[in-house]
Amino acid sequence: MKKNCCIVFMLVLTLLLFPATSLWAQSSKVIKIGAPIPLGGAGGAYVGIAWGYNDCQSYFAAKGGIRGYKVVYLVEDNRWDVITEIAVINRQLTMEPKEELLLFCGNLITGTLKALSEKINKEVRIPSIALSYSVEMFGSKGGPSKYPYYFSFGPDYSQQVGLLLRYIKRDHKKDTPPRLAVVYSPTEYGRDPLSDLKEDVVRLGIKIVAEEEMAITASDVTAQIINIRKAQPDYIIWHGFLPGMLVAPVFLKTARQYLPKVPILGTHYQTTLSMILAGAQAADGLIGVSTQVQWEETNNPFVRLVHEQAAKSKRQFPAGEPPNYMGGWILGLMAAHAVDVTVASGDVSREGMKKALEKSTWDFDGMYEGRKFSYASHKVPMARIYKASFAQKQWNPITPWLNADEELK
Amino acid sequence: MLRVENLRVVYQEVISVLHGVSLKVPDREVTVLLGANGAGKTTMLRTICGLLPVYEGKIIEGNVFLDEKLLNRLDSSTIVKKFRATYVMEDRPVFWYLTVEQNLKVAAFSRWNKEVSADVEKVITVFPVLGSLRETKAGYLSGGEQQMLAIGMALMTRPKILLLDEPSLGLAPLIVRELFGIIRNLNQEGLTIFLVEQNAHAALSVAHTGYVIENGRIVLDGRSEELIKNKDVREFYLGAARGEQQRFREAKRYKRRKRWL
Amino acid sequence: MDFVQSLGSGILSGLAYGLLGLGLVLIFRASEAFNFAVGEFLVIGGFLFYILYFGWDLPFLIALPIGLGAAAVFGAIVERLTIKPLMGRPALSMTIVTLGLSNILAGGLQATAGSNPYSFSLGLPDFTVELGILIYPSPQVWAGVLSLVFFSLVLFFLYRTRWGLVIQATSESQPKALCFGINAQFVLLLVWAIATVCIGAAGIVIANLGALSYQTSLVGLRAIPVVLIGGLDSIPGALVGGLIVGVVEALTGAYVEPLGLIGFKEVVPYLVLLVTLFIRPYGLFGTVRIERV
Repeated sequence: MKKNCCIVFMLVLTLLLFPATSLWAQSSKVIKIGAPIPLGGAGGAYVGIAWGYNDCQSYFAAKGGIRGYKVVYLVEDNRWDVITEIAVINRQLTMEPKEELLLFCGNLITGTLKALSEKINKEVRIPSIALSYSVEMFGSKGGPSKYPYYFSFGPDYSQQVGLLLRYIKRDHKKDTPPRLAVVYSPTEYGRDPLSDLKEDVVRLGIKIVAEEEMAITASDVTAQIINIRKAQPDYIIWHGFLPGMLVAPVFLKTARQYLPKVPILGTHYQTTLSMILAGAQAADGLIGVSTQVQWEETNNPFVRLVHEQAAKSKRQFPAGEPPNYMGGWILGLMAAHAVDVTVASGDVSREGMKKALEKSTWDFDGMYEGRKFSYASHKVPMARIYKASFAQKQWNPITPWLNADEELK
Repeated sequence: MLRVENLRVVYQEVISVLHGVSLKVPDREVTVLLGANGAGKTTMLRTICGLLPVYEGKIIEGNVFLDEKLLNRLDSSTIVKKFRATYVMEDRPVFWYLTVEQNLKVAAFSRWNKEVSADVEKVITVFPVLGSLRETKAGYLSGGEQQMLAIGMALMTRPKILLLDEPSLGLAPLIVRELFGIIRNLNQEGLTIFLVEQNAHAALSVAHTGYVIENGRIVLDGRSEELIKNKDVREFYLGAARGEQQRFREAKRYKRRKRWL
Repeated sequence: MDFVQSLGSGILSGLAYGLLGLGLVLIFRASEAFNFAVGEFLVIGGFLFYILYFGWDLPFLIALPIGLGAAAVFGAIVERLTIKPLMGRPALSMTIVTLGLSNILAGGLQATAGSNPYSFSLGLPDFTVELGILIYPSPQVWAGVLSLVFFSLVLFFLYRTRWGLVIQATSESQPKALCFGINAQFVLLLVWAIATVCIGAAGIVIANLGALSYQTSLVGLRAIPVVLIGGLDSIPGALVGGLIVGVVEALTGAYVEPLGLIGFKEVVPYLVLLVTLFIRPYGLFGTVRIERV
């Protein structure tokens, strides 16, 4: 009896003290940034991104915060699943006070952006920077007028595919129109650029001879490859996959076995170091467009900065993680930049952040080799095409930085 | 010599089956344990051979000695290999999906050496009927043939003491007679046999000593010649009762239940 | 003509599934437990080989037996730690233990090996079969051939050696085996070791078709319809079940999926299983149990 009373007393005490401590913590100035990233699930687990965020947070903490404000990244696992991510976002929105949670900056999935577009853009009005390049949100039919609170990092998928199509046009030597096979995943992400793609090829005179869907959890894609082989394509474009998915190396290997001479071109997320490592020989000669620098470009000041931080953290990176780590830093720095301009503008609120972001111009710590961008269009239109070399285990650029807005006119 | 002292055995920690049983199995003799169903005969044999854990049983008191060495906590394969005590389970323990020859070979597994094939031939001379059935799967054999195969398999382990659990169960009287003849021969060649039976007739005809167990307690013991003449054994196990009604005072407590053969 | 193409590639992958099924059947016959951790065993077998072949650069013919030996030891350890303590308990408890085991192993894998796929190219001699427009790439051919070889080796061991005889006897009835002095515990250990070798070998040939990562364990789930269609306690059933599942998957991929049902080929084996169970509840070759209810 006495023991029970003790336990109940302790329980009540803890419950009372808990909110008290959190209230006490809030008395200092802090800005929180929601960061859902895939730490598990069907898309793969990218622990490097979380490390990037953590190190970025400590980096700014060591500097005493940004203009007096402490910056906290609320990193959570979205399991690359729309339902889980919506739950994470909703939970963060309800738990964190409006004055502190001013931004979402993370791997928001295309599907989530669609599902939450009403909520984020009309009700809650919180700026959200996503690593999605969705055409619907950021393309010609979307953009800041329809989705005022959505921001992106690079050209949308249609623009990326457009760059690839023009590359094909330049590369194709035969008289007949180039024959193209398109492989995509049956997800919002995968289907995103398809309609624009189909219009584009008509304009450019490219023929689509095969369209295959490949489930992201597939471990055997022989059937799809056999179908593609029947169509005898000159090029294959693939989109809608992530480097951590098992289907990616399976696809590369099977494609190489059945179609050894056909070049395979991919969009941003197919152009990562993990692809080369997982696919080995099969990944040699892969072509892809990327909106960000590669880990090996150490003549780039931004890359050098991240290399320094990686060395300081003394972590053991598993093979393939450093680019993810860099991805985490890119997100973290972007968010920090957003905090910076917001506090400078004086209006520390969600609305204030949105306006400050749109007005800002930034050089991304040197990532684009000195060029600065305005975020008025809610995205940065720079991309580059790379070719994979298995021997060197890296992607080598085969074009300079291309401005998608200009290239695709 | 096999010696059991004050054995108390319990199943699943609550079901008490043997309540302080003591008995002795002298070397080179046939000893029989008689009793009805549920008296504890099979439990007795399982305990001696270390198979109790398989059936969730435990010795809570008492000891089992073979040649003055304690058998309580040893596991079955040690008992077969080191002490040469082999237990033939009730209901003809043969491997149905293996042939007769394979069964015999498997039984010799614990002492595999070059003499295994020779031993197979020896067993076939003891049980000639198995000779023509070598390549037949054991599941297809008749009851009597299976029982012979089971004892043959036990012989393959070259035992010094053989423990048989109700070998006559479900067999025709002629086969029973043949079987017990073979048992007697084996004993005459020097094999100690501990026999558990319900068929008191056949059992007492080959045994030297006998025990009667009821509800987990030994109620009678003696040389087989005396047991055959014992009134109670005759009435309740051999079916030779007197026809008149008995006075209540004469009905002994431990025989209140009806028995059958 | 592409029917033959799909059929062929289905048969080749079916042989690998058959090997996987064999591992499950061996475990079921001996321990009466269904090993739900088959996917993780597959990946661990692949990784043990990976360390030897890709990490330490041992030649293939040395890395393979040592890698499979390591897989056998792993299977034995699992048996000692998880199954042996449950001896005598109902088979259901062992099956549930394997469920938990699969979670632990999956987490452990991710923690040690990371989550990125590891490239896995065995570099075996090129045996691509090309007949006109048909093409059977080398890794697939090797998958089928190696699976068949391992299957035959296990069959030889089981039915032609004395240890195999003892395993058969103990799988049939443990108490009877115990009576005749057979060390049933050791035999069970042996069975788990051999089954893990089967599953590990299947894992190696399957990983060669793509890459190795913790996600490869999903292939292990394919083994469920394989053994249920063939019969949980039937060794030829494992091979037949494997071929059926492999062929059905390939044909669905070629003919049904283009109609719009993407991913349907993952579902079809279970549909076939459903139909089979209606006709023969114990699987095509499983032993029918006559039970009085």
